[in-house]
Amino acid sequence: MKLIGWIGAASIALVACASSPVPADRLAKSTAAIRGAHEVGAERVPNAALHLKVANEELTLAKRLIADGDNRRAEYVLLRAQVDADAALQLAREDQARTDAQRTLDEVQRVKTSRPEGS
Amino acid sequence: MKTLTLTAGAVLLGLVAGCASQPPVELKNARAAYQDAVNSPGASLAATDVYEAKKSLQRAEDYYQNEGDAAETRDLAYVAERMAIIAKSKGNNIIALNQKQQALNDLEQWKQQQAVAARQQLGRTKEQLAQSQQQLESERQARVAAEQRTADALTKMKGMTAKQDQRGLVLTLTGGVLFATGKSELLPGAQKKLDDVIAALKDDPRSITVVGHTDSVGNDEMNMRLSQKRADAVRTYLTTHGVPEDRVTAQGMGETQPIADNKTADGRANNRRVEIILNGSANTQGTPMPGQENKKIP
Repeated sequence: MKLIGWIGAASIALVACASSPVPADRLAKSTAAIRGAHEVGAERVPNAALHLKVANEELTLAKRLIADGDNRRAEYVLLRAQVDADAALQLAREDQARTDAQRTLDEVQRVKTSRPEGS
Repeated sequence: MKTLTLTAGAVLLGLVAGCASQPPVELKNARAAYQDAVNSPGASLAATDVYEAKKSLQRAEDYYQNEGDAAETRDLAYVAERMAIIAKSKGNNIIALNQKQQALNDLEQWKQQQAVAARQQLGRTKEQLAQSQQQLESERQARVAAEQRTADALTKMKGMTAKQDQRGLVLTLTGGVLFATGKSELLPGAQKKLDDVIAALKDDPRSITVVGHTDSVGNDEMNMRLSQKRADAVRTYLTTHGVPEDRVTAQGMGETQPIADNKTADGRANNRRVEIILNGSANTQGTPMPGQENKKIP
């Protein structure tokens, strides 16, 4: 939701200002999103790892654009980095949830089919 | 030449128009990803995220309408595609969480069913046990009653004594009542007494030991044989008159267990005897039954 709002505001601001400021807030958010994806182990889930890798590459590119003074372009690239990191985080969570569910189903099946103790 | 120029112009215009109407691949991907999210099984569970993905896609579409294939259009479409991926993933995530919870609920329900079944089985087992105990108690009471009837019947008989000792209920018949001196054939009058005994034992389930005794007249070996023969004669009479063979055993003790002085005639008469022992008791083995302690029958 915030992301969408930001997209609208950023579009207007970027058009209005010929010289954009350094997108420090977006840089911080993207960096935090990437860190969050790492913390849930996104690099160990194949499709999540792909998004995380792209996010890292986009972050690197954005930093170079900022260094070159192209703040407007950097802001959009950081936006890409953030959504890729968010996707990596979510896909890792989904993988974890699926694994947990399957483990639980297997355990329930095992309990149901095992002989009662003491018999 | 003019025709060629017009044709080339038309082709160029067509190419330009074609290029202008072709959306960027990011937007195509975003549209496909959004449709994929909408059609996914968890779409309704992640309705808010799907809605946000829709708004994001619409923003990219609007930008494309206004600005064409600009870099920002591709950026916004890229974001829209990721948001659709995230929305689909959240739906799948919720499905997985629900599956896990459902499995846990099923397990809990199954455990409760198992517990109920175990309690029901325990209840049935307790009920069966109570019934068995009740039946055993009924049977025990029936045996006690039968023994009591036997004892009552025996105590009313003349020419015999009945007493309870550690061996059981002992019915003693003096030798003179059953046999002639030195003989092991039953006297005619003995048969009547034994018939009364058999009638009294009719409902009693206890095993029977017939024990023959003599006085000290004569040698030991002869007395032992005589006592055995007399015990056998009584046993044979009992078993040929309705008492099951496997309930009765016979044993000769000779002169080894006198109950009176062999120096007197009365004492020797008392020592010449046959004991019919009802082994044990359904109540308490070896304990005299009420009213049956060493009764002398007149």
